Amino acid sequence: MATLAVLSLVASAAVALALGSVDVPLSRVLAVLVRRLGGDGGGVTVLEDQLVWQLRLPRVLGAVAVGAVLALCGAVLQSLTRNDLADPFLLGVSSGATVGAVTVMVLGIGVGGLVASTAVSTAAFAGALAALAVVLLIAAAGGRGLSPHRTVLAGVAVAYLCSAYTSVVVIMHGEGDAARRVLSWTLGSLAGLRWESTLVLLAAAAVALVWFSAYAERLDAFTFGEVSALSLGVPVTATRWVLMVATALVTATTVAYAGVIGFVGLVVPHLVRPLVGHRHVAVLPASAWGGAVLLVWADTAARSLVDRQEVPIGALTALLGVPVLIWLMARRPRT
Amino acid sequence: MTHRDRCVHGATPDLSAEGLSVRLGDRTVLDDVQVLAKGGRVTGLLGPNGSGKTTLLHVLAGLRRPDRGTVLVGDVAVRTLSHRRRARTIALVEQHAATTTDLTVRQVVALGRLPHRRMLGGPGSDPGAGVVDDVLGLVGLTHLADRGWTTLSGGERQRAHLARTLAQQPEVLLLDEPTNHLDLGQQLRFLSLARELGLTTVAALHDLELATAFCDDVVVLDGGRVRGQGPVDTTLTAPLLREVYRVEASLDPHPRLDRHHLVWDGHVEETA
Repeated sequence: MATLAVLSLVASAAVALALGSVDVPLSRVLAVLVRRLGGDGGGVTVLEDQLVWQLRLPRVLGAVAVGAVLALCGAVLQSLTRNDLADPFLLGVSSGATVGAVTVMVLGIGVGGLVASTAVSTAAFAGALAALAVVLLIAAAGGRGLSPHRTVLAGVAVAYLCSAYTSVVVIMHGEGDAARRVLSWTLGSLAGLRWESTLVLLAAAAVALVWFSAYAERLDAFTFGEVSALSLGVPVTATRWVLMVATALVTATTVAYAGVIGFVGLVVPHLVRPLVGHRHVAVLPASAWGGAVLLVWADTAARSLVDRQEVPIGALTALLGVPVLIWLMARRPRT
Repeated sequence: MTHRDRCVHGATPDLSAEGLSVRLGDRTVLDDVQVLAKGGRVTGLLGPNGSGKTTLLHVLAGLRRPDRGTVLVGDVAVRTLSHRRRARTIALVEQHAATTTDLTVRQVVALGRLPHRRMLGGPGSDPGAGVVDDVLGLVGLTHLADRGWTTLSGGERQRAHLARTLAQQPEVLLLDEPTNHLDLGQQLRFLSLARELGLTTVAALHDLELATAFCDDVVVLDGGRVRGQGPVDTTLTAPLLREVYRVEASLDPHPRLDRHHLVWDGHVEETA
């Protein structure tokens, strides 16, 4: 099963490297990779190297990392909050990041010497952390740990506040195609990924996979709720804090580089559970795999479907995600 | 060796609590509560709705810090135990432990092994993994071990919860209205099973008839205070039942069995 998962991921990535505005035969893709890894690549052209190694590979690996992170965070948060609709943006990360991004893109505040795309990433990350802090502050104010109910409500409240700010800024101060640029940022894109950003994302994915897997059994203990987890010896409040903050941090990292890509974190855990069962020792790696494969294909479609234009990847994951979600709801036994 | 001998062993210490007070906002949920559940006996925790039974069980289980007072297992204060050590000492069957997650019965029961594992050790670090099969046998669920949770009946779920708590190999077993929503046959089956374990057991119960049949002792709570405590036959007196439950009732000798049973005339008319 694990072998099959790895093979399917590698095959998806290879096909993704070959497809695009200009198709490169798989054999030439292989030649580029072999040459770059120190082998004899036999007559690789500069254009082929540019296309496969410099442009597509960081993007494809970035898709693997972002997809894995989002799906892992979805699985963790669905368990922690016992809420099937929990997704990585539950704690206000996406709306906070949008506030940061919009502030830079529309108002031009804080660009100070940074390259525009770096400024947006930095502002998005900062906005995500600020929103997270506010959500946690509201959620923890009652003093009863981080109750899932309060946390979800706080997340919703902060999201509305952020979206109000975003709308006001875009409507009042947006010039030219500001609205279009903001909308396209919020739907996410992997087009901006280069090796530097991709390495950060891969590191985030590796940390998330290892860290969350260490919590697999403690997440299982939340199956029957927090009282039951506590009676099984799990320090519930501490576990919630650690995992919620960790999911928000890695999610914020993906949002900073790739914008808000919806539905992956919500849907993938639901998709893999029927395949591998409900224990987190299986659900977590399977979700990482599913998110990675889904996003590699979604990104390939995003850059190949329409000539000379990128389809927003967030729109593609939603197009795929909504029917799957409806199917899941329809077949789910009523309990 | 029977399933029971393999699953349940070791000490059966007393569970005691003194001066327990819990406030929720300005409401006093527990007020200077003193409890003694004797080792190896079944103590019924009785009282009307909202009398503080669930809160008391959570405090006894060490899941909730009381504002005042201490809980002892034997002579060890529960609050001094680590989370995992506490989970190996006291186990709780909750009142409404529902889930939409479709684990198998065996996986649910195996959750009870969690406090016996090293946190990063995985299943391999648990020398007592065979306990899961033993407790499944003990509660009569071996044949359903690989069935999904959502396919179980209410009675089967409750027995699986009991098996999960037994997999924790506790010395003290706490049951929070474990027979709610079960038919009479399943109620009797569950309580007989719990009683035969011989653990120090505290069971919150609504049904006074079940309490008289299955409990050695009772603690009667009302408005967060203990109104009576001791052997079931001598504690559930007509005046106490009238005062606490507002019913005209008494425990009379059973016509056929060698125990008492509850006979009620009706509820007490409230005077305005």
